[in-house]
Amino acid sequence: MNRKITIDPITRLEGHGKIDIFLNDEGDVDRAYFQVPELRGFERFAQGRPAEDMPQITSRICGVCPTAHHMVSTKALDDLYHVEAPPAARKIRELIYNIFFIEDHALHFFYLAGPDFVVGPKAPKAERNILGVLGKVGIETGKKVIAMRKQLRDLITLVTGKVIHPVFGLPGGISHGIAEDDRQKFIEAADQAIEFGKFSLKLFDDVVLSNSAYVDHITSEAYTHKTYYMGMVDKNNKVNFYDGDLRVVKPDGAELLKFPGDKYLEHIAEHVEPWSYVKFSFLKDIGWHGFNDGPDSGVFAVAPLARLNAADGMATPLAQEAYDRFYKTLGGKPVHYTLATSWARLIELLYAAERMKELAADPEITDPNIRTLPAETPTEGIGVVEAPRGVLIHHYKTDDAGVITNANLIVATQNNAARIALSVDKAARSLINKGNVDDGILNMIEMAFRAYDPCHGCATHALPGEMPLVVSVYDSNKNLVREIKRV
Amino acid sequence: MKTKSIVVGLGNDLLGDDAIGLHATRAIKEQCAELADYVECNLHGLALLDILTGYGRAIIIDAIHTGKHKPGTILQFSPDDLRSIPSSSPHYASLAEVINIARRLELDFPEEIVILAVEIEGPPEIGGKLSKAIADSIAGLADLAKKILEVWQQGAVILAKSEHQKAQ
Repeated sequence: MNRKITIDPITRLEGHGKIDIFLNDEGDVDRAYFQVPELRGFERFAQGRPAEDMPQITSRICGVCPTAHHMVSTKALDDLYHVEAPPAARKIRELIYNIFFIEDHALHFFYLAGPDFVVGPKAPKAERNILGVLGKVGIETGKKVIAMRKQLRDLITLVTGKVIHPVFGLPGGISHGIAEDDRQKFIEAADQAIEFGKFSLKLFDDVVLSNSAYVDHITSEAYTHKTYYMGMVDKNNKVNFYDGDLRVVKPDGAELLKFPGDKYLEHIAEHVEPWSYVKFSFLKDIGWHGFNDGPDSGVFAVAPLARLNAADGMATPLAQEAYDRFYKTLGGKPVHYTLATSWARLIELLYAAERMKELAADPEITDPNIRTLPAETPTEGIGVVEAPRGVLIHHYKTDDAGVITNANLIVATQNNAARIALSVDKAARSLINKGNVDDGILNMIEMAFRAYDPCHGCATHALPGEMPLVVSVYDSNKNLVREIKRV
Repeated sequence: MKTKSIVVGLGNDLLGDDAIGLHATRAIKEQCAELADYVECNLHGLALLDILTGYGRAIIIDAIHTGKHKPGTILQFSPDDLRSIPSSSPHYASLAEVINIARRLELDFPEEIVILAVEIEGPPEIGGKLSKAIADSIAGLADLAKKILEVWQQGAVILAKSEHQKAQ
């Protein structure tokens, strides 16, 4: 009797994510599918709108990462209008962008990794959440996260006006500079963020790395895929979130490719499956050869673990120390353990804080020259940044008046979609046998995709707001024989 | 006792009826700007921590899709009415969860929160406009919010509703 298990997060937007697990007659997993939702219709929506509105419009796509869309869109406008922003403007953009990374990474560590590692992957469901994390790490730590987040958001507001609808990025520059008095505030906040980054890594050490059961879990075969990795690097091949080339390393860690973002169409292609809305990004240079890992499959990964793997190191000293320790502990480069993503995220948090300090300490950042006025006719523009969840690409074509005729957005979750599908399938195969599916096992399957922090449809905030899960078990005739409501 | 009130409209103005909270907040501000601070928000749930902290009372306005009411119906909830199951991602932090976190962290959070939700007709589409039934609810929302703010202004409390109750 074949059975179908569905883990179905219901959101109000169409194209929600869900997991379907098909069992065979023996109760083992035949195949597991994870459907990543996609924001549909946006590209059509963009057509006919002035390109200059795109940083504002695209920042409203997503209630989680508006700053990433705003930044990549601004960079696409630089390219579209053939204009380069002055040094101070580029530095301020990168400063703001690193601040955004700090608060986003901090939040996601405590929200995503916290429940699974600080509370425990097999802990009762009722405790496996942010409140459980606060119970373990203490109220003071929780207050620290919230206070730091607020301080950083206030700093972003100093420059961008609003966090929610930032009016900041312009083709050729930015709308507000940084005054000398304010620069000191950035430096002080950066010092605190560095301390927070160190504290978070220490917490990870104390709670996770000192627990051999957790380390075994992270390094277990169920969560291992030997894929390609893509990440943005600076001229020294160090991780950079704001600007640089895209570098791809092979499953053995050697460089396959390094290319400027505007060549993305030569290297990234999209595969379509009948069971999913999302188009699965893969490496054109290798080709699509199914949902497989290994050097012959064009499946690649983005986001924190991929960025660390694709780079030669971190550009700041403390993050570099943490980077070295990461690879030493996990057996050298590249690391193929999906669950190590949470650790990689914390190393990036520390880097972002150190980079924030460097940029804020640079006297040039208060230079009032923050805009180069565009003088050329717009044609086509491509922008690429690292969003917290991975490589994010905006590509616009316009008419002579700068009105969008064509827009293409490749979001991080799409780049990761094939590896996420692999992860869910493998975790399900490894963890379910003889029809044994309990809440703890389902959580461990969810962990396989939670590490990537995929976006389940941008712009969701809806009441009641949480993500309910429904697990349905079907027999071979598609009759519902069991349903577990996870809300 | 903190008396400062805030009205928070939640929604995404790219998503048609989903933007009702934003439109309603603007309408309420036009009628009684002096009674509260006003914020329009399209961020994930946890951003509400930053927004609500420091206020004594709050009205939160959002779209809701229950499928049980006619589109445009105004529903009034207390936070206790909302499911308080914590989520596994801040993408989906619910209002109830945000309130739980604020309580656990002993933040300076509103003592009283009223949620006004407008029933919408299913998943909103990108680029859509407010449909007529939803736009028609704005006047009712504004009247109701104004009454609540006036009661608060006088130092009284709104009786918490323990069951989902239509305001109209």
